[in-house]
Amino acid sequence: MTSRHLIQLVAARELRDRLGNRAFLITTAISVLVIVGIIVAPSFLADTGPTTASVGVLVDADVPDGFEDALVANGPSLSFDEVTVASVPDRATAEDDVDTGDLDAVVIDTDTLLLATPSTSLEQLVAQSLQAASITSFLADAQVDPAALQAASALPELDVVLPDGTDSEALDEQFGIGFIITVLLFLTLQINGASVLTTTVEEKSSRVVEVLLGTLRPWQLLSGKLVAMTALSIGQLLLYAGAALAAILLTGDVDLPSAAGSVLVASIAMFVVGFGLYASIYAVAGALATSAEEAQSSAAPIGFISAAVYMAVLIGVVPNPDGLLATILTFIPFSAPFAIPVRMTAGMPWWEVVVGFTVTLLGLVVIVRLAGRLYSAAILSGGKLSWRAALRAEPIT
Amino acid sequence: MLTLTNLRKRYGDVIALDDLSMTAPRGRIVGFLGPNGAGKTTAMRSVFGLVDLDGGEVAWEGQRITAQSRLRFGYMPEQRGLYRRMPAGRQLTFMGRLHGMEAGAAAAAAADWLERLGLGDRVDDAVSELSHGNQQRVQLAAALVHDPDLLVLDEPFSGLDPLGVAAMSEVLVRRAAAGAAVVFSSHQLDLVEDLVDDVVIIAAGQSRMQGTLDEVRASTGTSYVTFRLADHDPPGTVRIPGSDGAREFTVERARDGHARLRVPDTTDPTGILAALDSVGEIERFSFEPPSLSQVFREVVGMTVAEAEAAAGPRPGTPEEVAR
Repeated sequence: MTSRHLIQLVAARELRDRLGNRAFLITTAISVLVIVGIIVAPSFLADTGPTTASVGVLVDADVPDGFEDALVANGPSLSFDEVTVASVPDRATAEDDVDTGDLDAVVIDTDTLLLATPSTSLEQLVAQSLQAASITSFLADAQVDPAALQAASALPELDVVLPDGTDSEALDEQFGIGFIITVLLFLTLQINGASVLTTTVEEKSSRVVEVLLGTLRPWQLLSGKLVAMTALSIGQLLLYAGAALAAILLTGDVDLPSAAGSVLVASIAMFVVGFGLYASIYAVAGALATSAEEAQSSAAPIGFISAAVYMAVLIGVVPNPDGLLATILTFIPFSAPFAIPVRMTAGMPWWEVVVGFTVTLLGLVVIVRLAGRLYSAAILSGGKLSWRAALRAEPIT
Repeated sequence: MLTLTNLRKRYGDVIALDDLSMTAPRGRIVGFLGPNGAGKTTAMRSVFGLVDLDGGEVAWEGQRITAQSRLRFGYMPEQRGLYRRMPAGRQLTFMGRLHGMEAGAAAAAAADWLERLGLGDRVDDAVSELSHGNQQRVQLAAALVHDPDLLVLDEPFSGLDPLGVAAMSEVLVRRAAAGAAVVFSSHQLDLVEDLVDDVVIIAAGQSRMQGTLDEVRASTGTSYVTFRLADHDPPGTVRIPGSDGAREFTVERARDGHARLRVPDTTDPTGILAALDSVGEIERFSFEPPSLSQVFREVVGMTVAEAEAAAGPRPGTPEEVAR
C-alpha cells in the first residue's frame, strides 16, 4: 500500500460521493444553463420582433414616387426580413384589413399611418421610406444622380485604435470574456471550496475520521480530498468552457480571441494552483469546527479573502487589465489565479505570467504545509478550535 | 504480540502516560481496564501513531510499527463514526481497501460481514437509515472487515444494550480464537470479567497490575466472604481461626441482610463456616477471590469512580488540546 494508492482510494471515494450528491449536480447543471443563457439570450431577444410586414398604401395617399420600392429596400435595416406592399382602394377597406390582420399597416396619406397596434419599427419604416422617396424624387428633379450622391455622403465606419494598438471593439469583447472568466473561476472555487469545508467537517463531526486515521495519515486524507476536488473543479471548468464554446458557435455572434486555447490552458493551470491554496485553507477551517454552523464561522477569514479578491479583480483587472492594480494582483498568490487569465485575454507579457505563476506556486507550497500541520492538529481534537489554538496544538505526523 | 514499552506522554500539566508497559499476545483477549482519564485512549491511539509520544516504544511482533504493519490492524476508536450518507456495503468495502484489500475481495468481505451480522439485506442502505444498534454492528464490521491480526477497541461496550454486549463479546472471542491479538479498554471493570483472558489495570497513566485474569484476582492475597444469616442480623465482628492463630474480622453490612468479610486468601473456608455457624443459622455463604473492581480498589487505593473524579480533563478534549 503506497501513499499514492491510499490517496487514490480517498480521492475516488470523495469523487463518488460528490457525483452522487444531488445538490452538487443541480448547481452544476444550473450553472451550465446560466452560461448558455447569457450567451444565447441576446441573439434570441433580437429575433423577437415581426420578421415580415405587410404595408398597404391608400390609392389616393399621394405618396412620392418610388415609396413602395423604398419600403421594401428599408425593411432589412429595421429587422423586417420581408416587406410586402399592397394597394388599398379606400379608408373603410383599410380599417377592415388592419382589423382582420390582413395588413400590418396602411399609409392613409403622407401624414397619417393606420396601425393595428402601435409599433415604432413600422412607424420608422414608413417614415424613413417616405423621406427616402421624397429625397430621391427631389434629386431627380435637380438632375443629381442618386447613386453618386449616396457614394459621396456615405457615413464612414471608423476603426477606433488605442495607443497600444488594440482596437476598441476587441476591447469590449475582452471585457465581456474577462468578466465571464472571473465569474466562472470564482463560482467554481466557491462551490468546491465549500465542498471541502463541509466534507471535512462531516468527517470530523461524524467521527469517522479516527477510524480512517487507523490506516491513513492525516496528510494522505487531506491530499486525497484536495486531489478529488481539484479534479472535479477542472471537470466543471471544462464543462463550462465547452458549454460556452458550443453556445458561441451556435449563435455565431462573437469571434473567439485567437489566444482562446492558451488562455484556457493557462486558466486551468492557474486555477489548479489557486484552488489548492484556497481549498487547503477551507479544509483547515472544516477541521477546526465540529458542526456545519461552526464551520461557517471558522471559514469566515478565507471567505473574506476570496470576496475581497473577487471585488478587486472585477473592479481592478476586468475593466483595466493593464493597470497598476492589475499588475500588482498578478504577483499576489491569492489573486494571481484570477488576475492572470483575465489579463491574458487582453495580452500580457509572458514573463509576468511566469513570475505570477511561480509566486502562486511558492505560496501554495507554504500554505499547504501550514494547512497540513493545522489540519492534522485539529482533526482529532474533540471540540471546536480557534486558528490560534490549532497553531499551538500538536499535529499527528 | 503487541508490546508497549515505557510509554510516556504529557499534555501540558496532565501526565497521560507515565512509563506504561504492557503486552497483548496473539490468541488472547486483553482487557485494558481503568477509570476514564487513566490514559487508555492515549495508549491505544499510540498504536496507530495518533499520539506523538514523549518516550517509549510500540512494537508488533518485535518490530517497530509502520504504516505497512498497521494494514493488518483493526481499530475501533471510542468516538465511533461512519460516513452517514454512504451505503453500508460500500463503506465496509472502502475500509477493507484502505487496509490493502483488492476491490473484489473487499466487496466480498463486506457482504459477508453484513450477512453475518444479520444486515444482508441492508447492503445498499445509507448508514443514516439504519437503527442505532445496526449502525454499531456496521461499525464493528468496519474494524474487522480485513480480518486483522491485531484488534484494538476503545470502550467497545459503552452504549451497547445487553444483546449488543453479547454479540460484541462473541465476535471478540472468535477473533482471538482465529489467532488475533485482541485488546479492548473498559472502565466498567466487572462487566468484562467473563470475557477477558488477560487483564491490565491502569491508573494515572501507569500499569498497576497485569497478568491472566486468575493471577490478577489472586494478586491481592485477599478473598471475599459473603453470607446471610436467617435473622438478617450479622454480628459486628467475627473471630476466624487462621494459620497463625485466630483473628477478629470486621463485618461489612450489605443490602438485604447480606454481609461481607475480607480475609487472606489462605484462610480455610470451613473455619469461616464454623465461626459463622456459632453466631447464627447460615442461609447463604460464598468464598471468592475479589472482583476486578475490588482488585482495582486494593491496588490503587480508591474506587474507579474516585479515580475518575481525581483524574481531571480527558486527553483529546478541547481543554486539553488548547493547552
